[in-house]
Amino acid sequence: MNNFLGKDGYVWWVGVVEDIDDPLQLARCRVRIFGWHSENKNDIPTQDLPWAQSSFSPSGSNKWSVPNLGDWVTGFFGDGMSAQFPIMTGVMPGIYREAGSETGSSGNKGFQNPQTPEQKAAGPQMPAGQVRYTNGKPTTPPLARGIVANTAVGVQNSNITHTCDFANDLIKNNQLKKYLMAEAHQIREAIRAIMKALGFTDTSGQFTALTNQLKSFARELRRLQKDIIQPILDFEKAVLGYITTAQKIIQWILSLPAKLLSLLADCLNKLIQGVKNIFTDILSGSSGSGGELLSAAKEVVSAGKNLASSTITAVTGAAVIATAAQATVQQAAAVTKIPQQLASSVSSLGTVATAATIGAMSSGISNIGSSFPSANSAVSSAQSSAQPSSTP
Amino acid sequence: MADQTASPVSESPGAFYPQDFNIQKMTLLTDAGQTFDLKNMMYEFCYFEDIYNFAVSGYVMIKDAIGIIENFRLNGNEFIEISFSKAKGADDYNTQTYRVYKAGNRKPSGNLMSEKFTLYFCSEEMVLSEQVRISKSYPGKEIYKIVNDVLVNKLKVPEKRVNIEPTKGVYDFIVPRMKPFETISWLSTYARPASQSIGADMLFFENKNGFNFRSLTSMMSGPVYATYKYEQKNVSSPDKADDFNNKIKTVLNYQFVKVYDALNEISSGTYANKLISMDPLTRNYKITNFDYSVFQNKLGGTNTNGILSPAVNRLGFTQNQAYDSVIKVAFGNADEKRDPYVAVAEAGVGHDIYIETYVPFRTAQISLANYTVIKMTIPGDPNLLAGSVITFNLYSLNNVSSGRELDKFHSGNYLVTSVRHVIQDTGVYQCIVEIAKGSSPTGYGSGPSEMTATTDLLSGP
Repeated sequence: MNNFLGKDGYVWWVGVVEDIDDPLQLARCRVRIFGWHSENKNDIPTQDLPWAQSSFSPSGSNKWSVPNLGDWVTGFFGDGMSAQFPIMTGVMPGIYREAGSETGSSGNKGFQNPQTPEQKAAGPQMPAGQVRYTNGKPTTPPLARGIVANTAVGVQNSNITHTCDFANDLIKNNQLKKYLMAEAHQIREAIRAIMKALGFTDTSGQFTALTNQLKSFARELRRLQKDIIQPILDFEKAVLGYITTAQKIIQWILSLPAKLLSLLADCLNKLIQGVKNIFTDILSGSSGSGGELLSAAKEVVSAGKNLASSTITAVTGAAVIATAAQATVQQAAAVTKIPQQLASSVSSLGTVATAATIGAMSSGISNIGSSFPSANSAVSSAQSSAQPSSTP
Repeated sequence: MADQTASPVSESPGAFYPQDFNIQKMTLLTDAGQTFDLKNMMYEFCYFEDIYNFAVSGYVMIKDAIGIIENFRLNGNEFIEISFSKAKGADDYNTQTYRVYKAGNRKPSGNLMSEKFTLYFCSEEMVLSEQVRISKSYPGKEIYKIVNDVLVNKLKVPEKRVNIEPTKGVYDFIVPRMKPFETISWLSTYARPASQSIGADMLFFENKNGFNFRSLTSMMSGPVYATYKYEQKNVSSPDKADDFNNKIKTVLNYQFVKVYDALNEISSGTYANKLISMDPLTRNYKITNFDYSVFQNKLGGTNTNGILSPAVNRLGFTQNQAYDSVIKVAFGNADEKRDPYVAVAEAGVGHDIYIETYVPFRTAQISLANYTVIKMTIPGDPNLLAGSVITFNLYSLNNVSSGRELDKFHSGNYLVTSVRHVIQDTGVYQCIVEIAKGSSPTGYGSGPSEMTATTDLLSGP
């Protein structure tokens, strides 16, 4: 032996913790080490085992804990083969085994959990409601295995009092409402511009002049696609994104334990009600903009159909223009799907809430869905009208 | 405790020639309970004891014409009982029983009518020690008591064959599942003899008298067993008795295994070494420098003077100041019980293992004991033991008018580190002895104070 720490080889070991009551409170344990120590406690009683020092992760010198009785630990000898200075470096999780009469602290057999159930019951206890180890179950923490019951978290959940914090969400709802209202107004104005550009505001029969203007008009259509119809599609994404977020919030709430859910029921109802109000206001026409939007969309589709038909009749070879018109019609058709998708997404909120048997939420969501029958029919009509125009 | 005193064979009657011997008994005992006398079949017998070996061992070379191995079903479970002395009728027979563990060198001899082979033997305890292990705690125990427990209780060695020197300090050892002899050897590295104020030079070995757990210092301080000399062989005394006594103590031949080896002594930490000991519990650390010059008068030795030269090297220090030549780093626990926090819960720490004492001293002392080593052959002496002290009068090459002077440095007292008794059927009994010392009858004095003079000479103008 060189008697030079580190040059005498890394002599590592595996052992079982038999004593954690370190009088110096240095997180040391008495460990019976396989191979080096006899399993016979008559030869080496627990109190004769050397205190094994702990060696913790350098990630935090103040973050550590003491192994439990019966834990299997690994380590190395600070004095190499002399084996008088054990140092612990880690704990090996396993299946928890309670001691028997032979293997307990009063028995003679080592390498076992030394604490019998009776001794465990007589010793220091976990706080009420919490269980540290269960015989036959893993020694890994229940929380790490997704089990909350009988843990400190479970106990805390049972005793929790809740203060609703959805105010911010509702404030956001109001902001969204303002955004939606502003967007709806712009869309309405844009659709009017389309109508005007197409000449549908003038029903005096001047379509014959339209043919001569088709070339320049095609360029205008492309501009309209870019400047007006695309924002409408962006509007759709914004609304759907909001609905998706709302769905996630609701689903997360519903995944909480029943007791916690009941605490949140009122908050949930407020949230649902807020959502319902927003979309009802926008889409059901209470402010006028929603109904107008649907109506305008229908007109766009109809106009597109007429435009395409007229174009085909007047200028047979104007395929490019017809294609542009067709794209416009498709974009317009996409616009008409917005209310339908909104209706579908919002309805799903109602479905989720119903599953949780929260009455108030369910009825609120149902009301949202029922606000859209006219939109649904308008969309169906627009789609059926637009279909033939796709054929040159 | 076994008696270590013995008398040189010169005082036993009956022997006429220096290399006389008498084998009273050499009996083979088989595992089937059969016995067989090997005396007349033996053509060489060797018995070996060494202070650096746990157990004695030896061999008997046999010339066999009756098929012993086959007919006695030899299989390594035999015993051999040997009793020999210098002369018939002597009362100092060396009588031992050993375990035969191996047969070797078996080869035909004489037209397939006979064969030669060798039976190897050792102490029964050596075999037993290989068959068991110890995993046991010894809280608050002196080391010598643990050694006694291992020998007497684990190996069942009769107490009369146990010679244990008391040690200082109490320890909390857990023997980590070692073999018994391995355990004692391991404990010897920690042990500090109670008879010495300093030092950690305990050794475990077996000789004719039994098992010994003794310090080098105490062995070196023991009485001189005999004085041997080397002289012309063609000079004999007209008085036969005087002639016998003279020749029995005449070295037949010798050679120095090592006169000195400064480089080896430096790299072994003989003159100086350093221990860095640290305690993760109290977060203390110590640096302990071993300086041979400080301790040479306390360490004891077979002779009165040390072996240190006062020469200073060109770096400005002497041999005993070269602490960095050997550095050891180890955990220690010297101050734990003195720590104010630990004091309130003293049971939380073990006894001091005195690492600051035993590591530096043992490093130096084991090496120092073999500073000068001589191997010599002397007429057979069944009473000569490993661990005894003899005087070797080595004559100087300097002629003076009054006759031959003794070599000032390499005469003197030596520790017998090993003895090989060899008896041959040609009627020769010799002992091949290895002797060593780490001291000198004459000191190396003040000498040149600077080695630079020599350096200048070597480097030239």
